[in-house]
Amino acid sequence: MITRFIGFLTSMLFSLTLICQPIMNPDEEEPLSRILIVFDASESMAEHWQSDSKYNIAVNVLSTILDSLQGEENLEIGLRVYGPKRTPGPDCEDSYLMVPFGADNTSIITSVLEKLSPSGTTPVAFSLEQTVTDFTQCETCRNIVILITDGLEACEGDPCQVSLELQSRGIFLRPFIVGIGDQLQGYFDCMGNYYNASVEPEFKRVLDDIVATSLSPTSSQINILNQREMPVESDVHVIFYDRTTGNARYSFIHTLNEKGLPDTLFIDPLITYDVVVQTIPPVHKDSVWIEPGKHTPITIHAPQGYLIFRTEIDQIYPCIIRQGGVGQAIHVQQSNKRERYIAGSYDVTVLTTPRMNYWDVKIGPDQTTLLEIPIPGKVLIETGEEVVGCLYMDQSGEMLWICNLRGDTIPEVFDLQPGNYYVVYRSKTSTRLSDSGQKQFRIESGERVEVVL
Amino acid sequence: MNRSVIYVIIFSLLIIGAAQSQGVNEEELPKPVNRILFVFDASQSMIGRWESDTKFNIATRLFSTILDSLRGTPNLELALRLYGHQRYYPPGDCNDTELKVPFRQDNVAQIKQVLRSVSPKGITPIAHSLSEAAKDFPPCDNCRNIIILITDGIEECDGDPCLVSVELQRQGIILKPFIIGIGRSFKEQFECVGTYFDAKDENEFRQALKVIISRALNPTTVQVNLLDIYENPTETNVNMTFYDHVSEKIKHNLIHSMNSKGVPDTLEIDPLVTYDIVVHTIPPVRMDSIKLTSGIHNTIGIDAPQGFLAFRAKGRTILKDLPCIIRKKGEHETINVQEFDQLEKYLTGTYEAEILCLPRISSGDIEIRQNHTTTVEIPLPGIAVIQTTTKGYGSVYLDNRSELIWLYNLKDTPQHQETLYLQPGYYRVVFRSKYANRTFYTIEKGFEIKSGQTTNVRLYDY
Repeated sequence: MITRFIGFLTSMLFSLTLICQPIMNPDEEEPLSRILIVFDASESMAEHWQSDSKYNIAVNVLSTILDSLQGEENLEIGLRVYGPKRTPGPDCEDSYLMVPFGADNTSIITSVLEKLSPSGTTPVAFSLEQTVTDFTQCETCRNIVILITDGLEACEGDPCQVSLELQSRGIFLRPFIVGIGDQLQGYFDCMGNYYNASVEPEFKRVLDDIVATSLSPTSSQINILNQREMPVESDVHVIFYDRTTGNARYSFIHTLNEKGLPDTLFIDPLITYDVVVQTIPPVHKDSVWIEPGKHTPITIHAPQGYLIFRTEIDQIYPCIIRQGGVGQAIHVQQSNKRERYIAGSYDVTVLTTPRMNYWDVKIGPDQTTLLEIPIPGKVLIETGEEVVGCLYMDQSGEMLWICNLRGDTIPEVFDLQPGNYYVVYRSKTSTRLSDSGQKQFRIESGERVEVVL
Repeated sequence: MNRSVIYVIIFSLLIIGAAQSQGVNEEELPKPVNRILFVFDASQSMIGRWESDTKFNIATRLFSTILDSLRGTPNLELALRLYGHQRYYPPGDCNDTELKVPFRQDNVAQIKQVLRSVSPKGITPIAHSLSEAAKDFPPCDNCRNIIILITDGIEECDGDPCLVSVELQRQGIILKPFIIGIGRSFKEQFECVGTYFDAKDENEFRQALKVIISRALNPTTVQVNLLDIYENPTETNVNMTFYDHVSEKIKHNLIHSMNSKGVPDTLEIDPLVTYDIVVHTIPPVRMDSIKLTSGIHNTIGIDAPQGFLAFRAKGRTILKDLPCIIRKKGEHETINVQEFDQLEKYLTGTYEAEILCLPRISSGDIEIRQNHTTTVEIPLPGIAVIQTTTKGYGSVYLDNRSELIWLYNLKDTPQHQETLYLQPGYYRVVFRSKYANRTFYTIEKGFEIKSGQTTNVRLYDY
């Protein structure tokens, strides 16, 4: 009980962080795949189906497949059974890990199943919950559940909810469900990948399929296309989110290998992904499937160009990048730092004084757009007494408000873009409009002026 | 003009008649010189009979009486231009216009003398006379240039007096002219040229001249009441600019003041100008096409209720070099970039702020209330020192437990160390050496930033 509780705690803790698996180094060993077979031994399995009872047919088919897996590397198999006990009323906790994970235990599994006789109820949700402790702690393992059942949940549990929660906690990958007979169609879709076996040969074929899907070596590559549809864009962060759970599954910097081709990735095919390429702004590709046992390229259009704000001074100006008139910034770029953007047009505001606005700045694919920030000049405004005052730029007769003066007796210094400016001011203590004064001055790049009010 | 400027409905403009006792101290204001150019009609039709005599004789007689009353007026210069006095009509001469008496002080006798010596003969070239009149005013920085046109007919030379008049006003050469129409009404034709008066009989002519002279010469004052949310004129100490509505030139640029009695101070102002007033609050308030009544004290009410906005980091008040973008709620335009450590005054209303820390913080519903300081508080940031051993490609993400939100690309510089100010929270940095050609060389590290603390993040495995 205590170990179970600790196991629960660790899994809770684990679920609080984003689960990112490292992209595998193909030279290193493959990860361990662990298949847990959850087998229905409820009373209904004793019913006659085609040549024999459902239970006997299922056990026979399963044992054939297990035999073929004998000696397979990097594979461990476990067995959980529900409903094996005959009780006066339905026992909703009638579910047991009969054979824990181990290598080369296929014959044990077969012999355990052969000794049981189907008798009890169908606690699917409860059985799934128990797998949390069946899968012992292992960060690099692929945990796979294959549920073989002929009936619906019989204990008021919610198998879908349990499945989703345990997937999002990283306990197991999207489960496989094999339904015997026809009556389960549609019921288990939300829980995992459902396969229907309405006749005996179908049951064998479905199981073969599932095992192949789970274990075939599968690879992928991401082609990030430029304007001319060439897969040459690279060096950008890519995240694979598990579409079902929302968890980040893989996260890596996209790389071209020594041949200049997108590097090959080993991505688990048991998951549907939402892929995000972290360009500015990010490019999303949702519902990405990878075909098991094959090499699947994923294609993403992301032609990019560069934007740089050049200044000849050390001062870093924040440059606000917006898209199509939207107020919120998509990025605040620093001056003199080159950034890559998806080709297109952007609205830019540079926080010089006064602000410089550029509408519809075009960033062409594979091109660098350069915006020059003129060297500012300095003005020192000295007042001698407390004043109320404002600083304006003279934009061909129109007053462009820049800021209000602090107004105390300490001289104020402003870095201003080249141009004509003036200060309108009045002594703080004055009671007359006619005491208002105005001082004009001109700012040249790199030069300093003093204005005494 | 700035789009964010708030256009105050002209109905809120209150012009209150009664002259107040808060006159400005007149000695201290440099008095402008009033220059009045009379443009007098000496065309053939002026010989026509009107009541007791010819139009020309009556107009000259009444005009002379007024001129006599202006003798010795300080800061006043007069001049006289005639048209139609040289060539007989028909055919007349469209260039028949002449400055007969140039601007000078004490030249009333000379003007009367000239009028006595001419007889009306020719055509009515009003537009040409007006454009020639522009040259009659010698350059002067502190002059009010006024034209009074006395005519009994409309343009006869295909000119456009309206166009000429508006152009001269726009260039700041003349104020809005006055026109007296003798005999019958030319209101429609002359309204666009300037302020038009009908003179159907002698008496109306005398009255019109009196009113025009008084309007042109008597001081007019104005006070601007900047109203708070309770409609009381308590707001002050803000720059207000009076633009000439026609020429768009700045006429007055002042800091609003409360006088020693605590009421808005009075400004002596030219009533012949139509004004646009901009009060430079954030955002500015603008009131267009304000017409003043001559010779009295005018009061203009403008709504400018204001409150303060401040930013604060928990545990410490001052954060340097952190710009905060301020927008009106729901609008795209930036109205101000407030420095984090500064207090700024805004018109009351709802604003949104985008604080350019990492990650950026958006504050959506900032309510500015009258005389109240609204403080937006953010957590105190911490510092991440990110170290690499090689050049490479890397980004920093906010890890909000369901999604990675991109924040920053590491610099591709050989320093191998970057210092970032980050808000408290969980972050992730993803990095790969520039020289690695396999994906699995990607290094990913998660880290936590706590307020005011430094976290070292090493992007290497030893």
